[in-house]
Amino acid sequence: MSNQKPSNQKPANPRPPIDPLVAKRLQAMNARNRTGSALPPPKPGTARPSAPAAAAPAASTAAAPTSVSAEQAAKLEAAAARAAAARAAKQGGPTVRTAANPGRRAKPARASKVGALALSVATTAGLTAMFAGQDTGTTDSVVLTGGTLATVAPTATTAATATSEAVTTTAGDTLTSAEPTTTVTVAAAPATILDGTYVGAADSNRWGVVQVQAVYSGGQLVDVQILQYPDGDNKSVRINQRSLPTLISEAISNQSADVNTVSGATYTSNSYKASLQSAIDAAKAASGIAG
Amino acid sequence: MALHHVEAVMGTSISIDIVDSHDHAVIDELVAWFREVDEVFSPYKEHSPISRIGRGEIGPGDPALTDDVLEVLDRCERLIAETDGVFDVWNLPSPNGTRFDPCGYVKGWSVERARDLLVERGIHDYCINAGGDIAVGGRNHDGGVWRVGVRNPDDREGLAFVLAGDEPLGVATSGSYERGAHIVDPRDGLPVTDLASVTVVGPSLAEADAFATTIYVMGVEGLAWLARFPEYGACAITHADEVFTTDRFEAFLVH
Repeated sequence: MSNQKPSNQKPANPRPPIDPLVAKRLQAMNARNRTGSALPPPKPGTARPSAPAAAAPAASTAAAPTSVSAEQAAKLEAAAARAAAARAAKQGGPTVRTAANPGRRAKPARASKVGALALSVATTAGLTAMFAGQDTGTTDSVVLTGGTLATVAPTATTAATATSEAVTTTAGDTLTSAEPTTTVTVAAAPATILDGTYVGAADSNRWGVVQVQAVYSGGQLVDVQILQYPDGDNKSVRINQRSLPTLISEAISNQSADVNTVSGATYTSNSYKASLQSAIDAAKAASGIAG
Repeated sequence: MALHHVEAVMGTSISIDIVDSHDHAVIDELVAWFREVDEVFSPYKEHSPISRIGRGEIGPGDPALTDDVLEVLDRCERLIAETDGVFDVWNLPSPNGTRFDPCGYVKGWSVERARDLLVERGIHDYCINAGGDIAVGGRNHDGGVWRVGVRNPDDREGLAFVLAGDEPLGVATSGSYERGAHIVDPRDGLPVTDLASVTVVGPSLAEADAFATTIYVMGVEGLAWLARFPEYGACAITHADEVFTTDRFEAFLVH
């Protein structure tokens, strides 16, 4: 915590005229301002040309059908369309991205990351293959999330125990489950991915080379391992997916309304007054709890 | 033996809870610190050092370049490289009319520095909540670990999940639900609203805050990007109510 006040004395060895870092950044910023451009380089994963099956992840240990990638792409497209529709219905906005126009998407339409991921898998392997597999392994769950489970949410948040249990059971942690067959109850479609480990092609993106492998069991994606990552270290990253109602029901079942503080997107001073945090403060005071 | 204080400063409200001290002087120190940060780093103040730097009004030996300012600039500089320009405080629409706005880093950083001050004063049981960005350490008033609820982006009164850990934690959430589309992608200048919210948890709130914004702009792919910072976990919630988490995040999740 520096409370240093600038000295009135002329320092014997003054700071460089302007910190080189500041000078460099100022120069770059002013150059951008002069050209009036925020210089948008192409974003990874944005508006890639659609090329399904062009980069099929190689099956390393299992004799996967060669049509898997195209199949994945088709399923993901469908899932993306459903997710986009779900969001549009939820927010009352238009479904900007449609199955008829899968190859490009306007920025505001990127609401459904499933859609973005579907686009990615259609064109590249590597990092995006991880998420492609992710989506494929849980496509059935996604469908239910946008439909049945979402409608359960209001009930779940009022802590109806039976409902919470039902949600947990049906939409339980499909990706981390050691017994994927326990999630079969929610699967509307039969498993189409053969068991095995699928190695994605090494893919160069803006951060470097990425290569992952996906492990399927019982038709479900059960693990994703990163074989190469830009830092050069082999790091294992697994992305888990569940539905928000499921997560909430877990929290409710744990009586986690009993929290000490609440994190959320930035409050304004005014909205803070109505925020959950202040409610907790008031509850503490009313309960005679110090602090 | 406990302290509680809420201060409106830095354009938000900062709630401070200290369990293992009743010396109000430390609250005064924290408040003075946050006010100093407001004076130095606010892009809303025309003559703040940050606004002056953004306008290029700095000369030889300028006092605007304090050690604190240089520390923030240095970390923000490395974040530009680490995020490939996704987190770039020099390329954002700033309230002062320039394109230099380090607020996205400064809030979390200032709370992290406040945490350091508490520890220097021998205080280990505390919770600082700066407008939803949180630093906790030690034990709460009941002797348990701090339980940090994270808001449901669909329901301002509801929680999505609860986080807790044995070590001091920083928890930051980025989203568009509170203030509309205010997160901008520096690479094309467009507002980003793809995800409902992103929460990052890890040892430093300064880092967690920057990472949450970064992942929010990157999208779900940002969860894999976070692998390079193994001490941090993240959760992304989509508008379709899908929840994506990293394994590290799951370790903090109260089930």
